Amino acid sequence: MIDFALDDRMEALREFLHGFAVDELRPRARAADVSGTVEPEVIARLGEMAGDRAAIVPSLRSDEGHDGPRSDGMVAVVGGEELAWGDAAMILNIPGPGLVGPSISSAGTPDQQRRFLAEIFDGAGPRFGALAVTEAQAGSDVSNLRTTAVRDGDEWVLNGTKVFCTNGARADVLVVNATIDPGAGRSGQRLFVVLKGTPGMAVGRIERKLGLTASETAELVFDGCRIPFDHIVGGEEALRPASGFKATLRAFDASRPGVAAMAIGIGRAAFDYVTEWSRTEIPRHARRRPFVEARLAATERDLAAARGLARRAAWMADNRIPNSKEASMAKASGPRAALRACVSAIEIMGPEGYSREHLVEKWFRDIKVYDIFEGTGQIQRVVIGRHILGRLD
Amino acid sequence: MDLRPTEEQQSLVEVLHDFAASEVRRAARACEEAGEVAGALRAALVEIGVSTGVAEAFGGQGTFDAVTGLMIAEELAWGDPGVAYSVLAPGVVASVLQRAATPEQQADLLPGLAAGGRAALALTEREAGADIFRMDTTADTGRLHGVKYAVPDPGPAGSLIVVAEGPSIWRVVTGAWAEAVAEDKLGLRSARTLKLGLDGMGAEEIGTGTDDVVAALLAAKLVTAGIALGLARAAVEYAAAYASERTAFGRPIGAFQGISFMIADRATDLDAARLLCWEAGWALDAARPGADRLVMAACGQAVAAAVAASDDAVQVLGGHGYMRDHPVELWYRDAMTLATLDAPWLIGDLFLAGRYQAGGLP
Ligand SMILES: Cc1cc2nc3c(=O)[nH]c(=O)nc-3n(C[C@H](O)[C@H](O)[C@H](O)COP(=O)(O)OP(=O)(O)OC[C@H]3O[C@@H](n4cnc5c(N)ncnc54)[C@H](O)[C@@H]3O)c2cc1C
Repeated sequence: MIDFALDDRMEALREFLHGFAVDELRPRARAADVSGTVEPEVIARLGEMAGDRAAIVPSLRSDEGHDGPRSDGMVAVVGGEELAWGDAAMILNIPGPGLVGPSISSAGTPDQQRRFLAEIFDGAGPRFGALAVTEAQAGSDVSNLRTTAVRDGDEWVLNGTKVFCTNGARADVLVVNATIDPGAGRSGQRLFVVLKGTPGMAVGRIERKLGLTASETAELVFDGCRIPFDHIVGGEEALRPASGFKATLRAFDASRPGVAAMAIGIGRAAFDYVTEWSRTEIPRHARRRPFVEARLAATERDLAAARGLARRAAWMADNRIPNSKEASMAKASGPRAALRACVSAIEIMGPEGYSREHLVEKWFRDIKVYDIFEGTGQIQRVVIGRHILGRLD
Repeated sequence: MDLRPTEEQQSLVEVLHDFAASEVRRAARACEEAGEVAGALRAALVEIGVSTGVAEAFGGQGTFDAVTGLMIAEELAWGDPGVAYSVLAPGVVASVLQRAATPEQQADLLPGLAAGGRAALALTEREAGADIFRMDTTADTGRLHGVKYAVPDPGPAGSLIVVAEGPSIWRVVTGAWAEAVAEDKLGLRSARTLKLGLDGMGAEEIGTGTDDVVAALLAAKLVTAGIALGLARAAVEYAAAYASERTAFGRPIGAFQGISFMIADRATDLDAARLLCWEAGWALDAARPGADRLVMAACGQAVAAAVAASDDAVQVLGGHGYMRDHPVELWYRDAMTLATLDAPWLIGDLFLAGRYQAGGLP
């Protein structure tokens, strides 16, 4: 039967995270944006609070390991929207494995999952994971990567430079995409685990950005960086042809609906804010009201439609239905809808909208990256188009 | 119909473009960091003699028609929109005075502006934005009451001209704005602007007739539209250049229609907006009927073109566009800041739609 209701546990999670967003994230958003950092005490506290969240999340994953329905996908979209409503940059400062989670849990050996996920992210202290794929000359086109991994006895030697790596400088566990066969394009690529402090790895520049300023975006330089042989994700198995790139893609497949939901959360933050503003702050010019109301209504419908796409993609993933096209639809539409919501909000607020006294100008800066990272809007359209039309070229 | 700029306009644009390409672009980030236009840059522009058009009779180098004003604003804003917003402020005031002030007022104020004096027009309001037909500021018996935003800081010695309901325009004669705090803005950060409480300031009215005042203010709005055009052009050009150099999947990204259509659309928006602005400026100077409608439409189109162009320019650069190494993120913020002053659907459309009712259309 068609049923759009969130079950009680999911609804409880949503309420819990909304409270967390209201109490912990939103109040810190501006200070973090201005300073470009989050203090260690706050990070530690976010880590503890996330522990509380983890207490709820496992109950939603009770059927893990079986072939039956899961709920991680829905947790990511429902939770992602609430948390990003609070503050998108703060979320990226909540300790946890980040994209290392899906890359190792989907492609790593059981031993790797234990050593690099369970043992490091043991809740004892704030720990971060980061995924380093992008290079200066290669973003959307991952086959252009130049970072190499060369086997030397029972070690790998990494050479190359990664850019734009979220939490890259502070990461305890880094998953790096590198090629073991430079002539082979994507099929030569594998994922490697590099632990913090490994000699031969250095942090380069930290980017200064339009938005998400409080999220660390780092350059990482590998210069003769040696890691043990068993740090290749998937172990010995991964040496078989064409297994590496798929692992990266799988990590992104899983994350797209959640990223779309975060974008929707930012758009909803702007929409909620300006709706309240319009109720109380635009009493004078009666002729303006219908214009403002029409814009608010369009925003609500836009965001609702995008939310539907994100939740469908998550529901499919949780029910083990292939969702590549649907995940791309969600990722292509959520950030655009949310950007329009931010634009409308700023325009309605007029010169108060550009002021740093309100958060809408920040949401407008933060939102833009959601149409860029984790596969740009154009790349999502390429995926959707190929699913519908097949490969015509 | 003739769409060729005069030789004078062409050479003016060339000089300004060189200046914008060499001096303004280079200084833009530093001005943004400082929150104001570097003194040397401002002085250099006064030297070139284009930022403030004042008639020779008042010691200036001549005035500009509205279309030339648009060209000047476009070139400077191509260099940096915030710098343009700030340095053009005295020129906006000079233009308003020459269109609406009495001869005595002109003789009083214009020589100072011709000599490089600072001045600003306080127009934007919290609710009305830059909608000159919906101002909330009042000026009963010369006492001003209201709050203005995005006022380019005229400095303590500069003159301040305030737009009030009517619309009417007023020159502040008593009361100081030295205490006013600079705005902390999303964009146009190289322009130091004030949020200015007017209460208690004494003012004297500029000009006498409403028609002249309306025309003067419409011309002032067109300057902001010109800034939006320059911003849009900078963004489209930057994106186009990047798209022909950056490769992905073995081709320049501009070879993908996902990119080339975006650039084509934004270039088309820009050309359409520029034509509308020029037509509006021409109609305004020729005092043609319907000039007000053209100006209101043009301002909205220009701002919309700037917002779309800067958004897409960031997109074309991908992750690199999100970083401060490239100017597109700055234009993205600047364009949205301009949009708060003149959101097309809230100001232009509201004006246009109002006349459908008054004109008895169904
Ligand atoms: C804040 C931030 C955080 C990030 N975090 C990480 C991270 O943690 N780890 C990581 O590895 N990377 C990260 N990235 C990098 C991000 O994933 C890339 O920026 C993104 O993949 C785009 O690559 P690019 O920037 O090289 O753009 P390009 O690939 O150069 O794209 C430029 C433009 O070309 C378009 N384009 C490309 N190919 C096509 C095509 N076939 N058809 C149509 N258009 C096309 C793109 O859509 C885009 O508009 C981050 C980026 C940012 C901004």
